[in-house]
Order: sequence, then C-alpha cells, then structure tokens
Amino acid sequence: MKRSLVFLSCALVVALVVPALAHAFGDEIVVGFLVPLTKKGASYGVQSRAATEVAVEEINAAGGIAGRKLRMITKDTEGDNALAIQLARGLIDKDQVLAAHGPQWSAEAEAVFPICERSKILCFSPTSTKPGVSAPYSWAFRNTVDENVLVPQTLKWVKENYPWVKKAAILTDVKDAYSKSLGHDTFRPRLKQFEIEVVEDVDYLTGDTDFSAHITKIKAKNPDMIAVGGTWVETANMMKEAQKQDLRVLWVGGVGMGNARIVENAGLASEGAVHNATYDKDATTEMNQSYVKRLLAKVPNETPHWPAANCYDAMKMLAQAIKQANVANTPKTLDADRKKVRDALATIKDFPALTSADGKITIVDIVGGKHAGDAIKKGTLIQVQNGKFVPVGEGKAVALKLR
Amino acid sequence: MQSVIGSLVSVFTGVFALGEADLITIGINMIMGLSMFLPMTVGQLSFGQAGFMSIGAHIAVVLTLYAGVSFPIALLAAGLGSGGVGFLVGVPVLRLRGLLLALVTFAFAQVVEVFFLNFKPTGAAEGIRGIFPYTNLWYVFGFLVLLVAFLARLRRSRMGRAFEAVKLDETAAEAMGINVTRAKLTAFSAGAFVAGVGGGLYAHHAVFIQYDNFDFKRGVDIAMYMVLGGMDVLYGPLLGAFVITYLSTALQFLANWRWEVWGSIVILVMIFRPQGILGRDTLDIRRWREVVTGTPQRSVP
Repeated sequence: MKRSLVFLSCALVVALVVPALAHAFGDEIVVGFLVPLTKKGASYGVQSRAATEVAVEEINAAGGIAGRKLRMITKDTEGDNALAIQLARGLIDKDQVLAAHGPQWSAEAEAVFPICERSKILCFSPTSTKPGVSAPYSWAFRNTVDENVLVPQTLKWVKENYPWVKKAAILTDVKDAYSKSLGHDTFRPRLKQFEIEVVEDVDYLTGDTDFSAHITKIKAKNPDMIAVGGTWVETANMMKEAQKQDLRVLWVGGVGMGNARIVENAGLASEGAVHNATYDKDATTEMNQSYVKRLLAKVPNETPHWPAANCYDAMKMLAQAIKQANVANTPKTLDADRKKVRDALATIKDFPALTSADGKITIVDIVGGKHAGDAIKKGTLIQVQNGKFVPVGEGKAVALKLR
Repeated sequence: MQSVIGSLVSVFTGVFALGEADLITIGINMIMGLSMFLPMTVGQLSFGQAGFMSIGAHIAVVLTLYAGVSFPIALLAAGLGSGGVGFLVGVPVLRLRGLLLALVTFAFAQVVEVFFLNFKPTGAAEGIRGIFPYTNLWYVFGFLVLLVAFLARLRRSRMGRAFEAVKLDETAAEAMGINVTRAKLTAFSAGAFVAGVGGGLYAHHAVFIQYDNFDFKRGVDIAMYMVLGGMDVLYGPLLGAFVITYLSTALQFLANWRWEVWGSIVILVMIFRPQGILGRDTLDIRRWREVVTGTPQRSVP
C-alpha cells in the first residue's frame, strides 16, 4: 500500500513536470489569450472564450491569415494579478506568441501592460473599461470606449425626450474603479454640462443589497432622474427600493447596466431605465445573427453579453492586423514581427464589427501627441420598455412616456 | 559562486519549465507561507497575514514611488511598519486562543482591506500604478535564504525551545517560568514583519496594487501553503507554496477540471497526512527504511 503510494506520487510528479512543447513557427501563427475561467470573473470569461473561439474558427475557415493557420493558446488567469503576470510571461518567453489577446479585467491589465511594454509585444485587452489604463504603455491597446464619449450622447437624448428632467441624483459604487470614475468623474461634470442640477450624490459599495437609506436620502431632494455609476446587480436592488418608497425617476446608467437580467431582477421597477451600450444582442445584421448562432452552439444556456462580443471583435481585429503586418513568422524575426503587428493594429480604421452601433470601430493610437490605445465606437441607447431591452433614438423606437 | 547557483537554477527551471516570473511568485509565496508559520511556532493560527502583506506593500510603494527611498530600505521599513502594527494588534488579541484568534485575525485582514479601499493617498479603489519593477530573484531568494537560516537556528535556540513549549502546553510552559505573552507576541510580530517584506516584494513585482489584491482569497491561499506543506517543520510551507503556485500554471492544460484535480490532491493529502506533506518524521531515516524494505526496524532505546 505504502509502496504503491510512493510510486503514485512519483508518477504524478513526472506527469506534471513534462516540459511545454516547443512552439511551431512557419505555417502556424500563435497568439496568447488571457481570460478568467475560474474564480473571479468566470461568469464573464466562459462566454468570452467561446466567442473568441468562434472568431478563430471563422478566420481559419476563411483560409487563415495569408494562408497560415491561426492558433490560440488560452490561459486561465483566475482574475488574479500575480498569476496573470506569470502566464503573460510564459506566453511571451516560452510560447513565443506573436501578440496577446487580453487580459480582461482592468486590474489584470494594470499588471500585464507594463510587461508587454518591457517585452515589446502587443497586448490587446478586449474588455478593460477603467479610464486611462492603456495610456501609459505604447504597446497596450483596448477594444473599449471611454464613458466620456458615451454619456453625453445619453444625456443629449434624455434632454430631447424628457425636457422635464431638471434635477438629478448620482449613486456611485466606490469599491469598483470603473464605477467610481463613471459616477464621480463622468456623470458629475457631464450633468452640469447639460444643465441638470445634481441635488444629491450618494456612494455605495459593490455587493450592497439594502438601499433603503440611500433612496430615503435621495427622495428627500425629489430628483427627476438618478444616474448610476455602477453595474446592473446593485442597480436592480436600488430600483426595487425606489419602487417601494414610491420614488418615480428616470434611471440612467453606463455600459455596466447592460445585462438583460436587470429586468428579471427588478421587474416593473426597471421600466424606462436607459443606458448606452456598444453591443446590441438583438441586432438584425447578418454578422450578428451568425455570431449569436455560433456562440449559442458553444454555450447554449447563456444570453450573449457585451464582453464576449468585444472579445470576438478584438480577435478579428488582431487577425486583420497580423495580415496587414505581413509577418515573416520565424523565430529570428519574432521581435520585428511583434512590432509590425502592433503598428498595424494602431492603424485599424472603420473595422466592420459587432460592438459599435454603426458597425465600425477605429483604434486610436495617438491623441494630442500622447498614446491612448482606446477604441472609437458608437453607442446604441437601450431603454427598458414593457420589460424588454429596446434600442431607442435615431430612427429606432421612440422613448417611453414616463410623465 | 554565482555561476554555480546559476547552473543549479537553470537545471531546476528547465525540469519544471519555470520562468523568472514563476520563480519570483513562488519565492514570494514561500515567504508568505513562512510568515504564517512563525505564529504557528507558538501554536497561534493567524489568518491576518494578507492584511500585514497589504500594509507592507503599501508602505514600500509609498516610500519608493513618492519619497525616492532605495528598495532595500523600503523593504525594511515595510517589514518594521507591518511588524509594528502586528505588535499593536497582538497585545490585546493574543489573549485569545485557537478558533477565536483565527477569527479576530481574519477580521483584522478585513479592516485593512476596507482601510485601503477608502484611503485616498494610496489611490483608494483605483489602486497605485507605475510602481518600479525592482523585485528580482536575488532580492526574493536572498531574503528567503536569510529567513530559512534564521528559522533553522531558532529551533535550537533558547527562544525556539520556549516557543515549542508554549505551542505544546501554555500552562505548563508558564509554570516552567516562560513568559508566555512575550513569546507569543514576539512570534506574532515577527510573522507580521515577514509578511510586510513579502508584501513589499509582491508590490514591486506586480507593479500595480489595489486593496483587493490582499483579500480573503489570498489569506486562504497563504493558509493553504502551510496546511498542505506541513505545519510542524519550516520546510512544510516552502513545499506547500511551491506545489500550489506551480500547480496553478502547470495544470492549465486541464482547463476547468483543474480545480477538481487540485481539490482531490488536497483531500488525499489530508487523509494520508493530516499534518501536511512534510512533518517531523520526513527526515527520519529509520522510518524511510521501514517504508522501503517493508520490515519494521527496531527502535533503539
């Protein structure tokens, strides 16, 4: 018994220690993909991986990149910064990938982007939304748009359709960097710009469920709208509380409100709520229809969400960049190839994509003499009407009558 | 000397397919495992090491980034600052025993997390970016070697034997004239010191820190290094940290099944070796002869 145990543990050690296979250059183009599949962020990551796989399959079915097959090495970061660093270094040094697709979370991006900068390899994060994360690193790019571009579009629509909105309250999740910046740095100044007075400014924390105090405080000031710097989970609870206290307002959110489950959770209380999204899962374009079909074949029980669509678009853009870069794809030219891919991605303009209302994405390398690395997209305004997410404005459905 | 170490390291890294980033993370996790082992030498189970790590990380970063202090001095300050907090926390807390102490130290880690969430000078929820990548293999393993040498000597010293006595039976130790409170406080603060240095090393490796890098999950991970590796000998946390850190990258090819495999390994270890993989008996040659030959050796009186 004991002897077999010793043998077993030896076998286990040998099995784990088998070194990674050498990377094949030539006919195969290899990119790394960093995504959380377990622990923190798994709920997003699993669908994002499926979406990226769909993109890779489509690229290879269409003949690959200039005749070469595209292969993706997927690594699970568990949403952990230190592990993301280890895996990124492994992809860059051991697997010798041409470029990295990822990481997904802003915190991981903060840790991995400096490594890309030092190793001189393109890191293209599809979903990091915290403002300015890619700005300090010239090798870092993101397939996301600054809320400062989307929020004015939302508020303009609000002013046009609901002229009675004069006073607003802001609810901000200060535990999450993206939400905090949306509430404090975007909504605050932008509301003033659109001549909506901010009468109350309340903070909360990710995971809060009881908003009775927050809503009571807001109700005392009697605002016409509430702007939420936060994500849909907490927002649904706020809406329910407001309904309980009979506070009737227009709810306005950012990209983080974009999950149809907010309607399931808040029910009638979410009626009329509006947010700006870059991806519309019900878009009738041929591109979106075929994407959703292929995605749901891989993850049947999920509702398509924007991070996954962002991953799909990012992989397509990356493939386009590699094609444009005309890489030699040999171990000797790896450094030069990586540089070419980075420069090619920086020039992508009007790329046909899912995650923009007009179907076009442009990558911005330099703004005012400085590197930015973010994307320019157009948002679609989405309003909850009769318990459904409905695209509104500019030739789409009309606004719901609230008063 | 340097070339000898270099070639040994390259053999090791070649076999395990490890890169520099893997080795640094493994080294830092080993340091964190030992920081948990130190309070354990007096029988105190502390779940607050992630909190001390956070304090150390923030002190070191503020010093190198804003005050321009050199890295070794910043590390020392991180250790002392964190150790000082450990001392202050230890005075009231070490009256508690067993599960209660574990709960209080756990709560302490939560307090630290929420503090840095709201502390504006260190970026609050946004964290600090642009930290200099000072941490390298020499800093990590230099400190680790010093620490292991210290702990190895400690066991044979007067203080180490006092710790051992306190761990086995506090009342008896007190009756023998050992100052139990002082022994506990020393071990607890020393553990906080080590965790603070580990935090400083982590921050200058990750080059970005925010409050939730040092959350409940990290506290559990640190505890696992010691529980899996062995809590009776100082080599236990080292092995545990290596195995756990290595597995999270080595088992990547198993994708989502990784955690099932990992959980099974832990369960097997806990069934066959409740004291962890390594224990006092591991280096006992006589016991190994029994295992290999299958015949019980007569013990010499």
